Amino acid sequence: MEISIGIDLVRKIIHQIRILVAVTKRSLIVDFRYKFQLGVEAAWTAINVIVFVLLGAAWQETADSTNLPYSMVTFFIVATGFFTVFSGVMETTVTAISEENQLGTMGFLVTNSVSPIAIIIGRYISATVRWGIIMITIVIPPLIIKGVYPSNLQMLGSTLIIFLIAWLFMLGFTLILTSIALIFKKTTTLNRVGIYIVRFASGAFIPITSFDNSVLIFGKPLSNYLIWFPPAFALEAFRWLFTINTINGLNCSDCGLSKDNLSYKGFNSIFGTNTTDLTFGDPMIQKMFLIILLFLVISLLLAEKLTTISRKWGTIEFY
Amino acid sequence: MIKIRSSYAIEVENLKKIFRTPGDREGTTILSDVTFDLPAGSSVAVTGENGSGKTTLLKVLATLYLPDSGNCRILGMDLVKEARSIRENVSFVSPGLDFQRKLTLNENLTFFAKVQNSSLENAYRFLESMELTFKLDDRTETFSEGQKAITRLAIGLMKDSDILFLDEVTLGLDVNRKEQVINYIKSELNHKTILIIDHDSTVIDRLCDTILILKSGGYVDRMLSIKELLATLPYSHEITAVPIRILNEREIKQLWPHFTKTGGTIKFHAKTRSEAQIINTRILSSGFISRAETKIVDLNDYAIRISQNSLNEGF
Repeated sequence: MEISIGIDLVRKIIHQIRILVAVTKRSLIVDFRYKFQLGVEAAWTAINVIVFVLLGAAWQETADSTNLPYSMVTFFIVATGFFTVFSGVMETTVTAISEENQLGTMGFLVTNSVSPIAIIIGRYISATVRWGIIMITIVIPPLIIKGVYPSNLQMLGSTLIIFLIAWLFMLGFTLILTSIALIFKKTTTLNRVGIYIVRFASGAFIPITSFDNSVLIFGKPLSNYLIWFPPAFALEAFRWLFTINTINGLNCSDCGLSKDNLSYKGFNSIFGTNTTDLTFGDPMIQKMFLIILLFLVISLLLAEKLTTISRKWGTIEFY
Repeated sequence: MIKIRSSYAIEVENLKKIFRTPGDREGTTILSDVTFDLPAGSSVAVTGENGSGKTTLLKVLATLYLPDSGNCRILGMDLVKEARSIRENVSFVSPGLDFQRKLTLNENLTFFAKVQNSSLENAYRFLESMELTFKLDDRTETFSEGQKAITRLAIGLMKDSDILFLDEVTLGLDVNRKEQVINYIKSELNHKTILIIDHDSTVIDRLCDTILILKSGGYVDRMLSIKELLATLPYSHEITAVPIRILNEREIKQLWPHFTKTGGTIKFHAKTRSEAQIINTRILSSGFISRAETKIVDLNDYAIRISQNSLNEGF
């Protein structure tokens, strides 16, 4: 009896994975058939990189010592790369439900075992591939030219772990934003606001340490709290991984000079964390995965609830 | 294929469906109280005036919408609690349900085969019989309405479901294609439970044995066999006559008292076959009629009379 239940569960999981792969492939094929749009997105990313590098260069002229290892140029160019992928992925994904409804495909998908959650996740994965290609071709070359990249393989591995943290968090966040379209049909502005808040709170526009001297909460600077917001942690960690020479730079007292020729304090001493080497064994990374796991579970439950309400109200196909 | 847990393929009891929006919690009631049972293998037409909830009923039964109240079982499975299992065993095809137009026909079929966990064989066989396989590598955005209708059916037939919900599946098809689709359903799907909505009574007449009539407000008016339904007509034969000149009421009544005038023709109604023979003899020997044609009444006659609200006109 137990074995048969187990086999049934495995069969269902395999079927769900097949559905996810099929939805992702379908989205990818469709995306790459709109070649003009891809060109425009690549051009938009290039303009962003240029504008933010110039903004960073101008800011750096007047910047005081920040105790951080990166210059303002690095600050902006990493944020631009990071949000090229994640804003692009989120903006592409949040329209998934309304697009399917406008095409009239939602009913056919749902009655053929493709849930709105599968549609959203499939679209998110395909959008990651699409925006990943744009990032690799437009953003990575200037980073390499400027010498902003991990110094060794271990730090490259840490970069991938940090990317996974950011990707999973954004998946949960996008799942919530997109599912709202199952009930409320005009959500474009809501999506923009949501994405903008995440960008700002992540320190994409100003360093999260900017108000540390003026804003103290329970005696601790604001950045010590903001660093627990997964995208803020990911973006900060990326900047550090790209500019410090060794992983020891995360936890040092006399750190020397970074690749941007700036003297800096250790990551832990600035943010009040206890990170070690940004691997899976790092207690900070483990806590981040725990936070994200909880967030993902909440996102999935919410998306499932909104799907049920939309089937009940009949809004699942409306646009 | 699952083992049927009930003698009925579809059991619906006091089904209610209300559409709501965030600003309208009261909502609009589409189905008020629908109750009926369908034995496995039956072929049923759902009819009723516009807005009586025909498509909504099919969408609820196909698990797209959740009912507000009532008990529904599909192949013995609870419509609400076992929706996922039900989806593996039913197909819903409707012009309102579409596929990704940027994909080719083959890419669309492959996608649905993967998500349905089914093979492409049934879809290809259907496309072959509809002579549409030459479009397999074409993007569906270039398809005509008829070709899109065939594509929808191919997707619906792919998983060899026990129950088919077919909503206006012949819409947009030319006469030949419509004939091909009807023949395919009759020959290949005759063992399936089929629920059909179609405004063409010829389609219903040929494919269905039972009719479920919904009335405004989402109630079941009645459910009966097509034979029983036709028996409610006050005549069994109809003789369509073309007069050589315009005849007045008195002249027509002299030929046969039960008639209706439609355009330039006169339709005489006979209760029995022998009455029909009498009418034919009278009208052809009268010298007023140039030609006449006799036919047994079908669902089309019923549909016309219902739509004109004139079931007993001429009697």
